[in-house]
Amino acid sequence: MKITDLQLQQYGIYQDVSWRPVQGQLVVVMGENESGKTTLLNFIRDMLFGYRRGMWRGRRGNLGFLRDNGEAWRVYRDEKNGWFEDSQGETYAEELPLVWWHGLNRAMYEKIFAVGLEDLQGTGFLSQDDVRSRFLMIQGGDRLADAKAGLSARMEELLLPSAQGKRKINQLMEQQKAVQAELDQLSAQEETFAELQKKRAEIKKEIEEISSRLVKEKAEDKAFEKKLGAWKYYTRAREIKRQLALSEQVKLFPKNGKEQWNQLMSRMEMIHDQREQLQKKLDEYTPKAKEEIIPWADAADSLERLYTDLGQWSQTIEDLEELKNEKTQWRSEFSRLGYTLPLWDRMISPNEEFSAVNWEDGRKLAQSVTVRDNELHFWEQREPEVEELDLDGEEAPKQTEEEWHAFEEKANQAEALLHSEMDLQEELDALTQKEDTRYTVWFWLGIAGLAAAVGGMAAFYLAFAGFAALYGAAGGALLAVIGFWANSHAAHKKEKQMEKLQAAKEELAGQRKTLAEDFPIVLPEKEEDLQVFHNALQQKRSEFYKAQAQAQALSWKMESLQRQKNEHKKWEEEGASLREEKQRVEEAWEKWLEENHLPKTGADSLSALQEEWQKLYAAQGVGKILDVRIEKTQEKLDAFVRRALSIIRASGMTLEATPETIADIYEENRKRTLAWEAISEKNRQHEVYQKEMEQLNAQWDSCQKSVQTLFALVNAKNAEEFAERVTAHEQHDQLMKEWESVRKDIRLYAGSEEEFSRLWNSLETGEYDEWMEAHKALLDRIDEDGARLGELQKQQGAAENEIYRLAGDDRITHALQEREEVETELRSAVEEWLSCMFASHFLKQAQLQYESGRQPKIVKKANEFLEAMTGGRYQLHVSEDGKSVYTTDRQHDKKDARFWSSGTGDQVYLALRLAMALAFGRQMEPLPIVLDDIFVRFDEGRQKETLRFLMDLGKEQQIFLFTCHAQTMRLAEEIGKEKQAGSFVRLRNGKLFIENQAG
Amino acid sequence: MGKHFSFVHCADLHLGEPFQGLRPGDKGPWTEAIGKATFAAFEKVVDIAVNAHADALLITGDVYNSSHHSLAAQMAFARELYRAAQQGIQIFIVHGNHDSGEAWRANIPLPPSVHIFSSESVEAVPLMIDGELAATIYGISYGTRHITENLAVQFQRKENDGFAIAMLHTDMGGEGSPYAPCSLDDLKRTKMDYWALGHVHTRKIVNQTPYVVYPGNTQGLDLTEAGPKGCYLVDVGAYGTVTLKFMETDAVRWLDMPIDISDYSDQEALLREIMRQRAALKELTGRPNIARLILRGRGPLHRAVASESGREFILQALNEKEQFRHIFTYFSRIKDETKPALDLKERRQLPDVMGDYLRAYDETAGLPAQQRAEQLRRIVEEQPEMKKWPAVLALADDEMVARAFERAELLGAEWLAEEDTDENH
Repeated sequence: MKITDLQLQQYGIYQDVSWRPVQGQLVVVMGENESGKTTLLNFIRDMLFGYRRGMWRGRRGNLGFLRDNGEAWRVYRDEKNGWFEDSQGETYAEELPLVWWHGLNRAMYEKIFAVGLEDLQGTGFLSQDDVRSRFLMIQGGDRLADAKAGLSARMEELLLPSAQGKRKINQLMEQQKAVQAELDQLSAQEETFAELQKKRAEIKKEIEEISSRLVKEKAEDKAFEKKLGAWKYYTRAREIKRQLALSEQVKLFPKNGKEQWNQLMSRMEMIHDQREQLQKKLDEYTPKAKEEIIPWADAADSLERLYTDLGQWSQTIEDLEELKNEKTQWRSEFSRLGYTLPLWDRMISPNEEFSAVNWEDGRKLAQSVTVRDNELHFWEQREPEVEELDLDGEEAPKQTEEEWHAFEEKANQAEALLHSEMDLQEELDALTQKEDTRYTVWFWLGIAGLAAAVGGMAAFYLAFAGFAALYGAAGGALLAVIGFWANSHAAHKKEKQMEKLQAAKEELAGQRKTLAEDFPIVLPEKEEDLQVFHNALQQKRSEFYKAQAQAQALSWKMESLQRQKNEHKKWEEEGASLREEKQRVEEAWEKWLEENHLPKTGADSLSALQEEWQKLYAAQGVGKILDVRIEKTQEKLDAFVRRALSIIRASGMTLEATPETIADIYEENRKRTLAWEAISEKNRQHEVYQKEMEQLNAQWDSCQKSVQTLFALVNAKNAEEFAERVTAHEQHDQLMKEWESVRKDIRLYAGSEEEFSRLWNSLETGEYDEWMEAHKALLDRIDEDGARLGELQKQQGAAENEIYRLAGDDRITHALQEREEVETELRSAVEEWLSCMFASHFLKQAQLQYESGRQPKIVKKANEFLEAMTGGRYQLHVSEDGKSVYTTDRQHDKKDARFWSSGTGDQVYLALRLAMALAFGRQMEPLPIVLDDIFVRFDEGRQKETLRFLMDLGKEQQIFLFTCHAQTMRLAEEIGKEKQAGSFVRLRNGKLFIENQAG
Repeated sequence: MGKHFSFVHCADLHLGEPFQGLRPGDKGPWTEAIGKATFAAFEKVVDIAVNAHADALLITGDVYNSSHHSLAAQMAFARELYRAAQQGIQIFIVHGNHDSGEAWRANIPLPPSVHIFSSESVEAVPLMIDGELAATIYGISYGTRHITENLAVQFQRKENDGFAIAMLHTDMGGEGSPYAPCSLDDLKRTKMDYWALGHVHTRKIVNQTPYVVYPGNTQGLDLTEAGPKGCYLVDVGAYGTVTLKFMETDAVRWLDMPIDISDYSDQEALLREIMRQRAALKELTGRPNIARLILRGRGPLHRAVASESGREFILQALNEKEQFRHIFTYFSRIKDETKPALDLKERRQLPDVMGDYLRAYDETAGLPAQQRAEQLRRIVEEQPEMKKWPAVLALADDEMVARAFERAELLGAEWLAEEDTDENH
């Protein structure tokens, strides 16, 4: 699809603006902020997909476009109304793009075909692993990840794979288990109920059986009772009969025998009773030793004394406590005392010992220190003055007199030299001024001689004046020679003189130079210098004399200084000895301080020190007194404790030795002493009883003897036999009567003579014990049956209660309902979990599909784009796992996304986005691609490269490149010229200005 | 001329059977009402018999669910039978598959006027009124839970039976069914005057000459058993004319409430409408209701309705406080029939991630049923959670897996569509 025509009738700042974008060219639209760029971008989307919710008011426009199949369409959006119109003018109200492009909507269009600044995240974005993989799934990869994460979160809410899981399903399973357990328990109710009913019936049956048996047993019991009742009479009769037989055995019996017996018996009985009573009393009590009662009896006296001293003891404890407190108090006060004493000014340990100080010594020492100090002070005052010498000025040039004389000599020499020189110069000058006498008289004499010589010769030769002439000539010649020689001599005399003078002058100059070498002032070279020289010399001279005077003064000064120094030295020595003395005294002082544990103090503070020390000493004295008191009190206390311990040891108890313990023991002692008094009384009584007992035993023995005598009379072995026989003998008649009476009674009990005979017979032959046994067995049976009956009735009651309870128990109904509800919830949760799981599963499949299918194709295409965009500098690759991309350069150097520059990153991203958009478009229908300010991080080179590429791509794919940068526009135009491509539009205040365009 | 008489025909009491499809929720009067509904329904049956002075009460099976071993159910049953017997009503019972003869373990003694038909063979018991034979009642019980043989063929009326009634718990028309299957012809052949059937929970008069009647159950037990439930009061005239009157007995009514969401822009409005309709519903049924909310149509509320938590919220808002009412309408669940904005058919065509997803889904969905089920089962079993929790796996039967799979299509697509949602629509 390609946009052919935009009509912005009323849309934001656009009013009746129309624009036909050039086809087959990259369309570059430049608009600065507020120029309507964003509005235009939105217009395209609004036209294609409709206005956003609530954004339709006051918006009108239409958009013409050409679909891939060649159909021309136009979409109109007039506020709320919108329709599509085909080339035949037929209108469609439905949103056709949704139909054409399988539901592709605005949001999806923006994701795929629109690339904006916010999308270009640079390499920073790509260097994060998770983001990169999402980026590579750009067409919904993030959504895939979100969806997967959302689903798995939901799944985890429902069920956790770990055993610790407490998620909905896990909880429901537990609930289900619990309710099932309850149901299992309750389901036993029906069987319990049936069993209970059965049991109830069985119990009922048994109750009936036992009841009837009991009736029978009770009848039997009655029969037994009659027989057993007659037995009493019968045994009585038998007894009478036996006694009668006994009575017959007694033949002789004294008349008073019975009386004697009775007396004896009563006496014996009395003795017996007395003995018994006595024995009882004896048994009642065992005598006890005093030690048993009071183990510490031996220590009683000391206890008594200690008890008397208890007040004192307690007082001692209190005293000690108080003393200790005082001591503690004293310690803290003493410790603090140091701070109140300025000379100590420290915490003083209570353990520090302040022994007595011989203050006299201290005072002497202090006095010595003071004296020494004073001496030293006065000595300091006495310090002799030593003048200061400014030797710098005074010691400067020191010329000895000899030196000075040598100097003066030299100066004179120099001056003499100068004068000689000047004389020589004068001579020289005079010579110089003197005219050179080349032709002296001598010359002319020579000439004359020469002429004479020549005349003489001539005259000789010419005049043949003879030899005189010759001689004249020779004389003339000689004269001429002499004249000439003399002339020459006279003529060279000045020169030579000058030379001589010059040499002398030079010599003088040499001398002067030699002199000048070690001469302090400049030597005069000329006469004019002489005055200066003289002045300098004069100055030197005055300096010399001044120095001489100064030296004199200095030597005097030095002398007095020396004297002063000597005095000072003496003074110093004195000082040293004083200091030494002082040090010695101070050391002695300090030693004394140290020995006496006194703080380092100046001797002058002795009084203060003594005062403070006295405070301390006094305070310590208080402490010592306290110690002594404590010690004494402690000793006193120890004495008490020792006394107490000896008592406690005696008591055999393990107690602490305290006054309270002793008071307790004392109290105990008092109680026990009282007890002992009672006991000793009892002991005494016991002895009395024993004596009585002995008497009674003697009486008893005598009675026994009398009894034996009586027994012998009736031939009885023991008292019973005796009594029986005597009684039977006495009561013979009475017994006979009774015998008859008993028989009569049994006859009456039997009711009839026959019955009596039968009963008597059965009594005589029967075994009472057997009857008793049988009767007892019968009674036991009756009891047993009775008890069983009671038990059964109880069981019956319990069973009935349980039946009643079960009948009213409807817990199972609720539990069943609960289980059903839990299971419903559980099934629903599991089903939801499964749905999520399946969705996740297919999401994974989709991801695989994408990664193995579309992604490689897209990356391949993106690689082509990147190569084109970078002039073949970079190639794009995808890693084997498909999760990351990297580039290689011409040297095949691999570069991970992390190391890309932001520009490269954006280029890669752009290449990928374009590849994706093209891939998407190819499978559906290519839609216009909108690029919005994508060059922000591109340098100029990159912009140009990318623009070149886009110009090429723009020929086949409609691309709108929006920018707000004039620079980008400029570059685009430049590239446009170069490539003869592109269309350039400027936006200003809602107006479009088409600048130029290719083709 | 015979004797005029009347009887009540009921079946499938399912005493103590829990309601299905309810979510665990707050306890209150409704818990009580729900728990007692089946008992209350049977009480109403007995009340109807007593008030109508019916001569007999016919109960054709499934008195309670023996697998629950509920003593409470057996007790309640016995109690009501005593009440009916005290009024001189004769009671005839055949056991069904849920309460077969072997299942009555509590051995609760029943009144002497109760006759339980044997499971050995068809018995004939005369119904005597005032010393006269009014009808002969035939019947046979289930001895075991499953009966594959056709019991109907054992019935045959005799000449002097008077009005002949047959009682049978059967899955009529369910060939091969384990519940004593038979056909209408089998029943007709027996020449009975009235076939009192049980087993099918939906009431229907299958035939009128002779009458072949399923009274349905007395109390609906889940959403599939919506609408009034009860028994038939049957009046037999002296000349054998039969008049059937359906009597409602259900203590709690199940029903569906369909609502179109397209008219509501927010949940508040939707909730208000539902509450309004609920109030009307109570007027209509005059008893507690358990309703399923069926939400339909397209609208902005689709998203809320489509999400589990959204539905949960609506249910909670609706049920809040309702549990304290005696006549309540409890919304047990929401059926989401709302249409998503997504056109999945179209989205399948798009070369995007959702297209990928739907196509991946289609790969499995397109398999033959058996193969698909196997694959889904395999996927389920492969999950570590399922390996860890075999008990959960055991819950996931094929049906559930298939349902979950179906739900997954939209679920995944909606997750993916989250950001695509077009503001324009």
